[in-house]
Amino acid sequence: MAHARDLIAELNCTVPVTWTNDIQKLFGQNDVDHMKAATAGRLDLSSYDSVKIWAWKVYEYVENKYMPPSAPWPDAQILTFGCWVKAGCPR
Amino acid sequence: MRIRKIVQAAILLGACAAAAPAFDGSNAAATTANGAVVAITISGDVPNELNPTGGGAPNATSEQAAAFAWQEFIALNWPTLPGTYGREKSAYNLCKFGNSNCVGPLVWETMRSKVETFPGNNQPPPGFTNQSSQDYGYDAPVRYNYADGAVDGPCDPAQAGDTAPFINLDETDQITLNNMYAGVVQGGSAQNSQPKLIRFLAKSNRKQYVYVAKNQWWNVIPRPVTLSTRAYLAANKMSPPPEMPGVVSQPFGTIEVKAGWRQLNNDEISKGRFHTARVRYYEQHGSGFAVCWRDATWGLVSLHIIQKTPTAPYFIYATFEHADNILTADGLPVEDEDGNIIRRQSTATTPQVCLNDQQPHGGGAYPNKSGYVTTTANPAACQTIAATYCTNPGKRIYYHNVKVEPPPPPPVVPANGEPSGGDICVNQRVNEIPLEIRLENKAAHDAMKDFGVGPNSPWLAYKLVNVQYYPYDKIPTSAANGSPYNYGGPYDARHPSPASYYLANILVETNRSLQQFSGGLSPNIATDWDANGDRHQNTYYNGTFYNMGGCMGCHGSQGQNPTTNPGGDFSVILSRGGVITPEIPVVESSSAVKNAARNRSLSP
Repeated sequence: MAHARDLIAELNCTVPVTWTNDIQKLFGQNDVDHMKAATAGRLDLSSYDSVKIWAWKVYEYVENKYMPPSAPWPDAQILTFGCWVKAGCPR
Repeated sequence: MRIRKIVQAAILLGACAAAAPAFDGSNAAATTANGAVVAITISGDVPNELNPTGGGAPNATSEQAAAFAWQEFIALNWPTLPGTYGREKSAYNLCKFGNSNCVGPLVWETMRSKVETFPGNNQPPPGFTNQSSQDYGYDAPVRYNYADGAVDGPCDPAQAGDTAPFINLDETDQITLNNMYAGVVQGGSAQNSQPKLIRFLAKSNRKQYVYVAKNQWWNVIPRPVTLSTRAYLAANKMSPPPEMPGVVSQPFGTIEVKAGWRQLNNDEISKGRFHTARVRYYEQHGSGFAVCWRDATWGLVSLHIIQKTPTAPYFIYATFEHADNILTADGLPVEDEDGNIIRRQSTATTPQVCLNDQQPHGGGAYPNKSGYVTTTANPAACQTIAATYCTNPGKRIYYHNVKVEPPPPPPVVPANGEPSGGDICVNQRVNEIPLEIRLENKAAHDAMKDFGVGPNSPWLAYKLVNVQYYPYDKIPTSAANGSPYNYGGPYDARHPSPASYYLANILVETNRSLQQFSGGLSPNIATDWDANGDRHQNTYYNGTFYNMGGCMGCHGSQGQNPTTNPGGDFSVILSRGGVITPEIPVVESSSAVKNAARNRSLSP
């Protein structure tokens, strides 16, 4: 059974990915509001510090298409997020 | 001799019950003991089936279910030998139940905490080894691995060398909906930011750990497994056989516990009526998202035990409380150690609350979001009055609901939440403990005394609140206050008492949505309806889809078949997987509890 750490280790990442340039814009205001409402604020998708702590779980949920519930991310977007996690979540 | 005492107690308790008024339209007080009191033995063996020779759980009496719960409680609260390597190693005859000289942790306390089975650091559980002969490393020493960067370390550097205690209180509210407080605790502490706050833990036994570790589901259940499980449930309306490949179905004997703990005041410490243990709790550390931990000695106030058995694949749910949980403002107990009401209160809460949950006529097959809970002068009529909150709880317990911000547009009006502008004090349970449970409590306490448990033992101060051991399908109506289930007896598996249908621990499930839960969560209140007007059901069993209440209904809604999360076979901790961060107390203003950082979520 592949886990996030295994999947991420095998990703073919060719370009640098950062929070400011690539990741922050993956989350729209609806995503931020939805996760705040659904989780009593435990996950703030607009905060680098919060997303960094939750990074691998976010990856597993989007990779398994559990989230976003109504519009799963395309594979390229999942790859971008995975490469950010693989690189250590650079700001 | 004991039979005579029980009969005398039944006569006395029956007389009390007959004169009791009922809250909220319920008829919980008018109970009838419909079976003989079942004897309770002091044994270190955890029972693995209810009524095994009489048709199992579906054919058990309330008394049999209560006795089963007590046998679980006694065996799981049996000491282990101090310093023994391994978990769930009962000391049996070497150190017996209730022996105050035994200093080892209790059997259930050595079970793995949820973060030990579902770590948050994207690594296997601590001690994991891929060998079934070693139970995949279940017996490894305690280690709490949250996400990297989530926990800084000890709040007090002097505790840096502490051995991590078995009691890991990484939940700080009632499934994200409200904070719970004990007014009897002194306020103000340099070590504890909220001394009155009840904090919680969830643990599971070797059976669950082995199942999770074998399948390597400690992070997230893979989507193909989730889809197969949902398809099986929809097609068969029952749980898959235990450990069926490709779907989620835990083995028989899976046990989870949830416990509430709090700081004790000096008087409580001196009286010794609480079981105490070293606990770890968490506090804000600086201004970011990181937290720190502290270790201290606290008291056990509540204990849920749930077990999956061959005739109860939906699990059997039992909950125990300390006798001194419900106090008057002056600090006098409302119930005695067996659960008899000794100081009847005029209202369940101050202010009183009720649920508005009328059948909607919308368009979606998801839980109705138009319901809400309001303050009222009469829950049975449920007419809204302006909220006047409880400003002087004294030594009562009380709760504060999380403020629900309007969801993203289009806004839902009124808000899908409970009154959140102040504290709500608890005076008495909505559904009092039925007679047959009180009699079994007395039988258990008598058995402990006969066994040699000392008169000052804390175990004589814990009581069973109730048991759920078979699902029931509540049909909602247009009756006010969420058309509460109020069957008046006689009770059996298929006709539970309201206190059983709505099984709730007064310190774990307290607000309106939790103390009288049925249907689903929308996600902030309980509702019996989907938005399209269909009944919302939550528990599959034996070809039927039930609208069950209380713990079983909630575990069905949130664990067996949640809408957005993977199904966890009635296990919410399995459904949610990796625990990223321990929870810390939210900073509460005078009017709101909101935006609390949580390690759990609810599934609409």
